[in-house]
Amino acid sequence: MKTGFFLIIVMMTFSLLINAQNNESTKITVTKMVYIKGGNYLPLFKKNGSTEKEQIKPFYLDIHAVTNKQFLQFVKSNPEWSRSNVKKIFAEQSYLKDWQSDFNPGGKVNPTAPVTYVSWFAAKAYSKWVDKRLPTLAELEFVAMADENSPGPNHSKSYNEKLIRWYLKELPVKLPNVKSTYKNYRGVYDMFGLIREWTFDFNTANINGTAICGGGSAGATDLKNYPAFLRYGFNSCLSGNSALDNLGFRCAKDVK
Amino acid sequence: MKKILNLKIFSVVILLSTAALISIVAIQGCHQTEKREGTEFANLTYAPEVPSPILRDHPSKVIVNLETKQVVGRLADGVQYPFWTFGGKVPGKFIRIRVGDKVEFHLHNSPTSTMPHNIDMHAVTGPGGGAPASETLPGHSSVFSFKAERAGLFIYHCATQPVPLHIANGMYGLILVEPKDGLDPVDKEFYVMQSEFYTKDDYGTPGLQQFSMDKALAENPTYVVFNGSVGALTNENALQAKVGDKVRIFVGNIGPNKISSFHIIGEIFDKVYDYGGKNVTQENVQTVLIPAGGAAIVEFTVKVPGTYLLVDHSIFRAFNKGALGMLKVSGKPNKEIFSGKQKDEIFTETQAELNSGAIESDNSVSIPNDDQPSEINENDINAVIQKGKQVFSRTCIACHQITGKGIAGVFPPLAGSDFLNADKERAIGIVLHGKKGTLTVNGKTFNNIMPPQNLSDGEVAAVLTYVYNSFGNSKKVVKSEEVKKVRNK
Repeated sequence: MKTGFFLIIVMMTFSLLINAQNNESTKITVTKMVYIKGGNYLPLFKKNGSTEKEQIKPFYLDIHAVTNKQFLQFVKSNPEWSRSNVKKIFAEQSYLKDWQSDFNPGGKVNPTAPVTYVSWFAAKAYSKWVDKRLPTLAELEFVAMADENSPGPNHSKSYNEKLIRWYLKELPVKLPNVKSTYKNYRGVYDMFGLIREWTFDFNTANINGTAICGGGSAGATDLKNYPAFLRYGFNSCLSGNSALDNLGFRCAKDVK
Repeated sequence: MKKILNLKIFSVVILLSTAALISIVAIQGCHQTEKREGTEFANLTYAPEVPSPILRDHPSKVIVNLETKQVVGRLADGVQYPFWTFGGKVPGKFIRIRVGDKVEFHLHNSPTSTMPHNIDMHAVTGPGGGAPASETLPGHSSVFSFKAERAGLFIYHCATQPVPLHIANGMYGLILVEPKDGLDPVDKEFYVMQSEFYTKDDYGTPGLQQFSMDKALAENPTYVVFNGSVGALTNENALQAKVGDKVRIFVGNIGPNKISSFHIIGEIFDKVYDYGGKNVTQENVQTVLIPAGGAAIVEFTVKVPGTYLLVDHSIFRAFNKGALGMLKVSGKPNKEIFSGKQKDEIFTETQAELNSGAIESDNSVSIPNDDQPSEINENDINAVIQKGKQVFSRTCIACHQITGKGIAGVFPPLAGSDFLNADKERAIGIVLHGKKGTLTVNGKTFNNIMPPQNLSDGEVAAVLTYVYNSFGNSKKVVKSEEVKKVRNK
């Protein structure tokens, strides 16, 4: 009787332990999201020469970018996305370049900093794995329009200058934590000052076919918005498998 | 019969050969395109160095490698700027090729860059000057090819969105396409690029600067510099040449906003290739206009040693914003062309008026020439006094005035002067050797400097005799031997 009781306890503890272990490996740290009400927004480059504002439907957006720690969980559960296994067409040579090994970011990488050196394909796969999606260019630009205190699009001179300053800064050797810059009016962190972010339709930045890569400003709606030009210029040069050291992502989700 | 046949054959042969000759010459004339031979790597240099002239007499394939890199560097003493560069420095490296060359251009973007870069070369005929074909992400390289269709000196710059910002941060340089027969040989060639920087803080504020959008839009630069920073071409960084050197400067102006009025103080440009075009367009030019996004070639021979200042003659930029460089020329002086300062004399308003004829001296005596010797009989007092008056009008009235009254508080009077009348020998000494320090005349103190007078013994004697016999003075007489005696003391 006593042995039986003892055995049951041992088995229960054992199964608990096993469960705990399983939970540990399948536990996904999902980023908190905020509800974005949506509204009107004038894109930097007009579609077909129209000056009509675009309508942004309500959606949810991650309050911060996906971290190294979070991405590691994804790679562990989906080893085809580890550095040695990933196909070159999905992620170029520099994919997860700063990680120590396939399943270990290592001491030089800050686990709660945004993951970088990830391609669009990898970002898309992650977002699907957490049952989300990538935000569109319009959605991200719409949220990016806001500064700390107002929804935008008009900002103080100092705000625009602050943005340009960030683009001119050198990258820090070790990226700081997510949420370490500022929270904007929409409740979203680090829209600028940390990393560039993937969007679902990044290659529509070349909207009119104007050679943005070649420097065209024709058809731009706000010629003074140099930070926007920098983003559009950057986006229009990317490929799906690009993996760069200041490019990461965050996820969005439809409102059901 | 045979003779006639021979003649016919002969004439036909002549006709055919002439025709052949003419067609060969014609074809040669039409044959413009040179044949391209060989492959070489372009040797690029940092300013102010220029790669050596192209020696080959045919076009080739030339491979150019250039890296774009974002680098924090010195803008002025204590002042840093986050530059974007071609090759790690501002301005970017100088590229030298020959007309007809086929360039295979490799643009590398450092993995440390935070954004894509590209290159638009004004020497390229094709969309964007090569920009869309060379757009490159950080950690990548692009390759494209172009044929150098035209000889000239051309700007290159980055043309990635937003273009003005990429230019304003330092992404520009020069590419020289030599004409078929090259440029005339010179002793020295230099590379100078003028550009502006727009910073939030004022000129000279120490620390890492930020780009100022406001100032850039208002076209009000904080810094206007040669070769990327204040002092890049001054003092120990000055350009060097020797007397007799023929100097050629490849000058670019990228702006991004301002036109340059390029001038070298103390030099004249013997030859100018306006706009960096193929031909010499003007000779003997003082100041060359260089448009933003343009260039010029200037040539001159240095003849006199010294330091020659390179400036943008919109002169506040040279003085207050950094548009100042130096060319130091060493060697033997050439007094024939330039003497340097020869004399320093006292000058007052009265002398100016006399010189201009605005006022006339007493008795309308004209001022005599310096080289008019006047030998007179010293026993003829009137002649002496007349001569003395001439010397006085020429030499003394500047300070002591034509009335001999001097200027109150400044120059002592000679008229009725107790100081003068008290001591003749002292007066001679003062005319000969000058006087410094205080003296009292008629109860008033003076403290000024009288320079020694460059007069002969006879002139000193004459002028003093005149002064003593005028203005109510003691009517003393001074002889040249007395002057000689004081002089030799």
